[in-house]
Amino acid sequence: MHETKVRSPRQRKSARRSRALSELAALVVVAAVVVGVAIAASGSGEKAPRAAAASPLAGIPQQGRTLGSPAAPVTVEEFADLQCPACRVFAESGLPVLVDRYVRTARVRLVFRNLTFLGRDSVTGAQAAAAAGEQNLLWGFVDAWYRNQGEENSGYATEAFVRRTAAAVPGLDVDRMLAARSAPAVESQLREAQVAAERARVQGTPSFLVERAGRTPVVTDAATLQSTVDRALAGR
Amino acid sequence: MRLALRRDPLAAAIAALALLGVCVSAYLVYVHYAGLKPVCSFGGGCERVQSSPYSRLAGIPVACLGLAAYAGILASAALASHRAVLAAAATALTGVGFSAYLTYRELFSIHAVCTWCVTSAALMTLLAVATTWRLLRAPRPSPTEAVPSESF
Repeated sequence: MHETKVRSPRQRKSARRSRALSELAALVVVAAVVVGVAIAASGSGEKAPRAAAASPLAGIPQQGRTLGSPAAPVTVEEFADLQCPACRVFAESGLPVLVDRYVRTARVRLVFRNLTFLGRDSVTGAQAAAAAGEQNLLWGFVDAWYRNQGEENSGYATEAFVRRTAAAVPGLDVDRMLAARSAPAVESQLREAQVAAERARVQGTPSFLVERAGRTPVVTDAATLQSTVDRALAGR
Repeated sequence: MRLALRRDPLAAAIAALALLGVCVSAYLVYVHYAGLKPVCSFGGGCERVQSSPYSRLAGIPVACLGLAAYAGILASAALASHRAVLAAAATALTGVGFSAYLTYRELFSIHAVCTWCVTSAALMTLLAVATTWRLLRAPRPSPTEAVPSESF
């Protein structure tokens, strides 16, 4: 059986203080757990750097719009539009193989020719990619763009999207890249890509121009790229 | 439902701080969804921070989470119930923990400082202090001041 014991004012005050401190301690623990779980579960901050570190381009020298050794005997110019879904598919499945077999072994160097025929979002992406090239990070930016590519001409390439994409490229100074988009060099790079595509009679994207000194350049598509590169390397 | 703002200066101060927090986070939510460059002093790091991967938590912009937190604290400041006081303190303590994490990321991962984020972190810290103080001095909703004891 229980009976109640009436407390003195001092006891009541002490009990209230004790209860308040217990509540506070519990709140601090709960807050710490919530923050810890939220950060760990989302991994929001870690995702982009990890994806970039796992990029097939990691460790390969970039210079402007080129990727790989300048001394490589074969040059492959890729004609692509950042909005083009087939270009994204190639970037995800074909490019890593090409890079591992030929670029990393200094047998091929890649040149990115950024076309903008699909629409306004293409221009936005191409300007940003070329501006990233001013920091020798065009290929990293293109890789990040494809990872986040939206629906064609849906207007997804907003300023915020460009910023987020650029921020996912390790080492890229986002503010500098954004400012460089209006540079004359960016404009001329896009014009050169268009001229090169017309000269090579590119019919669609992605297309590839495989070049070796002393040989006639060959335009090919993703399906026959590897065999074309093999022939160029073999001097055939 | 008891309203606390008129009778309690601390609750009024909490409401004022939370309102400032709502304004700051609402601005950041607006520039985020409008794709605008935030107005920024001291080196222009706001844009870099706002566009970094750390500006989202589980896919939700942290500015939205901040807006929800400040709005919740603002609402609870108007109430005198123990639950409201407890909820405000829990929200502010969680907010200050997350602000500390984001400030660490600003300094050591993004290498840029966003004045809006620093302002928000300072507001949340003040709110954590104020809501904790309010919690500690609040009367407990115990129905009796007596406790059971064993009789002999």
